[in-house]
Amino acid sequence: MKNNMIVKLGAVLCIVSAIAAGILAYTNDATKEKIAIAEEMASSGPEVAQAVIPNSATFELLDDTALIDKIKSENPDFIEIRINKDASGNQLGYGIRTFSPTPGYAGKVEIFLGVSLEGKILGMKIVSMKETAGLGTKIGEPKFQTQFLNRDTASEIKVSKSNPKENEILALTGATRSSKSFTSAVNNAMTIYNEYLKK
Amino acid sequence: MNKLQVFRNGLIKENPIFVQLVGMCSALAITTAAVNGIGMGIAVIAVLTGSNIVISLLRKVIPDEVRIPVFVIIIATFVTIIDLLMHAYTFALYQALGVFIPLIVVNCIILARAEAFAFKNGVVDSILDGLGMGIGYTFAITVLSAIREIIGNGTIFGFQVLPEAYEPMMIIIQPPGAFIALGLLIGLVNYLTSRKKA
Amino acid sequence: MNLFSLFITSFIVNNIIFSQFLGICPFLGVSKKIETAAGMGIAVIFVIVLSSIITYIVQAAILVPLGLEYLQTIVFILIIAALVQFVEMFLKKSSPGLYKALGIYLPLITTNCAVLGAVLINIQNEYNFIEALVNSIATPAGFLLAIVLFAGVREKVDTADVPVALKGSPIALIAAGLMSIAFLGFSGLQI
Repeated sequence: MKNNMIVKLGAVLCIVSAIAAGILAYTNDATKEKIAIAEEMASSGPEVAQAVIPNSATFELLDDTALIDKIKSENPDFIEIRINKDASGNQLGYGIRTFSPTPGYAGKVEIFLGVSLEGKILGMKIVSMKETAGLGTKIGEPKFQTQFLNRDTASEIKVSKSNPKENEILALTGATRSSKSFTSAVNNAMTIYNEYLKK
Repeated sequence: MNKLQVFRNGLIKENPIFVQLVGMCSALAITTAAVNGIGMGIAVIAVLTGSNIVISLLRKVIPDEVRIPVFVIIIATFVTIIDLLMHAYTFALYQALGVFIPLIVVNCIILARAEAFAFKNGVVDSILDGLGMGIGYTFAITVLSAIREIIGNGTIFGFQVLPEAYEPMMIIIQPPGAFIALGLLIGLVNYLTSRKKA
Repeated sequence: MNLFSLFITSFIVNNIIFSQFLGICPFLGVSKKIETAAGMGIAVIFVIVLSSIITYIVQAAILVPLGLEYLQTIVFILIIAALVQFVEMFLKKSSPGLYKALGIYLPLITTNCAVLGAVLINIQNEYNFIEALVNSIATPAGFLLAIVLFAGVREKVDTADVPVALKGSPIALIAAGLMSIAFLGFSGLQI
């Protein structure tokens, strides 16, 4: 009798699991494309391109596999490089996508940094972060990010909690870790520009 | 209990957050901005009502001995569906809620209602219970999120409501603020309900 | 990431209760007495370490190669439910006193967000196996620390003169908030 019970219970669990798995397989298939598009938009759509370098019309990947592989092997936080071109096809600069070597409050921050052909920072966009809403997430706001604009890639940027000097930026109050993490990502992107892209 | 009572139960008398004290983890973690409260609330209403319906429909068929694992599978299925849908259609909210979306599966509210109500009642009642508890939960966490957002950021749903000159009380957005704000809020609810009784 | 700093980060700096808010229900529910709190904490360490190992292997060997990541939630929670069932049977035989004291909260370890949360974080932060192991020992150790400290505080608060509206969970939450401020001080720790 007991064996029968176990078989019956086991069978019920198996049937329920199988139906559940089936439903999920269907839903997964149905949403796969939409999810891919959403991820794509959030990481390289027109909105991102504009934030990285204003007036960008195209935002294609750099087509130099040898270089990309070389950077990937030497810089673990590097992700990709895109070319920002305006509507006439002139290159405005590079969009360098990287993780932050220094993690923030909750994991690494992922950014795109826009660098002009003369080595100046033109813009930036946070691709993903898990910082605290209303606190660390303020690194995504213009008020914090404008501090980085027009800086030269030649000098490393440091973070200061008050009275920032020439090559320092002011950290967000109560979000020093997020600020430091973001800055480390910017520095890493600048390093990549200096070592591999600068002519 | 008549139908209206079933629905209203979850709103105030047995509010999951203020009275039953279940579903605390998400209440503390994501309530840093009012829009997060609403977003999470809607996800929970969807999962709770969906799982209540299915469990109630199958209540005569599920053997008692394995009911908990079966509940968990059903709840986890709904959570995964919501997770996929949010990933596809509400990407920004999906990123903001992060790991707490799959964690809806262990939100004690859902398992508690499955066990205490859906397994023992008809489908219509279970729908009302799911909606009532879900809306009660949403109300509670949205109020908490709004309070924390206003005091800690001067905004509500992203709109500036306090003057720019207001120096926000950051601590309320950080973890300690969650505990203290929720504690005071429950204290307030206790005070209001005891006054009503008197 | 160096393993020692990973341990300290998961243990104190990003304490599972005071920073990450995972495991609040048992934290509030089982912290009225220090002995029960300690027992719960140890049971949770056991469940999380075992779950982490098994879920890590399942993720790496089955879910990812077969492209079945969307089944992650279901598979993980079933693994955890099975493990808790085993722990329950084990405790019933080896330590009936503790088994009785934990009562309903033992099966509720399954729904303890700390367990599912910890194993999901292992995957999300892309830890390798050793890092996942260290994280899965440090995280519930942090839970044990938090719940025992809190039980100590609550035993004292219970004898204090608290306004009626705040009695019970409100004052407990406020006390937890004050403890959280103390732990916030660790966030500047850089090892």
